[in-house]
Amino acid sequence: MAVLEKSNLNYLSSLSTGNSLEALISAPLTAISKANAMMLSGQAQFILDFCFRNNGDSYSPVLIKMEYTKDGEKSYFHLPLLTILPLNNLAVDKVDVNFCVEVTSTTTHVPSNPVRGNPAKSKVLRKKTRLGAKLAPKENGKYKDNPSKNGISVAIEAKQIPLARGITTLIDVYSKNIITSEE
Amino acid sequence: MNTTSIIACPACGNPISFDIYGLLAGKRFCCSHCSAALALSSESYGVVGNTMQKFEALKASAGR
Ligand SMILES: [Zn+2]
Repeated sequence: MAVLEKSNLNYLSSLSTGNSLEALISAPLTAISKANAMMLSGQAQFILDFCFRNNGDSYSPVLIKMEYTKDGEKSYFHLPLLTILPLNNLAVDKVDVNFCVEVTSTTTHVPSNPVRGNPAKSKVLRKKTRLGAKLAPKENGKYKDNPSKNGISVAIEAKQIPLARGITTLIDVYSKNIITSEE
Repeated sequence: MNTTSIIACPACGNPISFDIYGLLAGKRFCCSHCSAALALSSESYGVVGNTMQKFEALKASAGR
C-alpha cells in the first residue's frame, strides 16, 4: 500500500465559532471526496495527454522503441508508452479524521411538510433534532479532553487499485502483438 | 509506489517484470525462460524520462 500523502488540515478558524455537528463532520469528508475525484480525472487526462497523440478525430498511441538481445543478436520492437508506465488508479483508501467537539445546543422541530406516503405518522416520530457544535475549547493550546490534539487533523492515505478493465484490455492487446525487427 | 510492470518476452512470451526507473538507468531485464535481455532503446530515453517526470508531478499535485 502506498502512502500518497498525509495532510493535516486546519479548520480551526472557520469551525471554532459554532456550527451544526453535520457541517463539522462533513467538511473534511467533502474535501476528501474532491481529492479522490481529482486524482482519478487527473490520471485519465494524463493518459490522453502523454500516452496518445491527438489526430483530430482519433487518438493513436505514442510508441517507444525497445531492444532485446538473444544469443548475441540484437532486435528491436515498438511498444505503446502506456504499456510500460506504472499506471494504477490512485484512490483514497483510508481516512483518519481527528477532532474534539463540544455540543453547544440541541433544538428539535417538526418539519412543516408531512412525510409523503405516511400522513398518519405522529408528530413525535417526525420530530427532528439538530445538534449545534463547535470544536472543543483549548487550554494552553491543547484540548482539555485530548491533550495530544491541538487542532482538527485529517490524515489521508492513498493506495493503488487495479486499473480499469478497458485499459488493461488495451495493454494486453498491445503486449500480445509485439513484432520484432532488425532496425 | 510500485513502479514494476510486466511485459511478455518478445522471443518466447514468458512474462518479464521490469522497473521503469531501471529501464531509464540503462538496466537490462532478462527473461527467466529464454534469457533474452530487454532494454529501452537509446532513442526513447527522452520521451519516457519526460513522461515519468510529468507523472511524478501529477502524483505530487493529487496528494497536496
Ligand atoms: Zn523469453
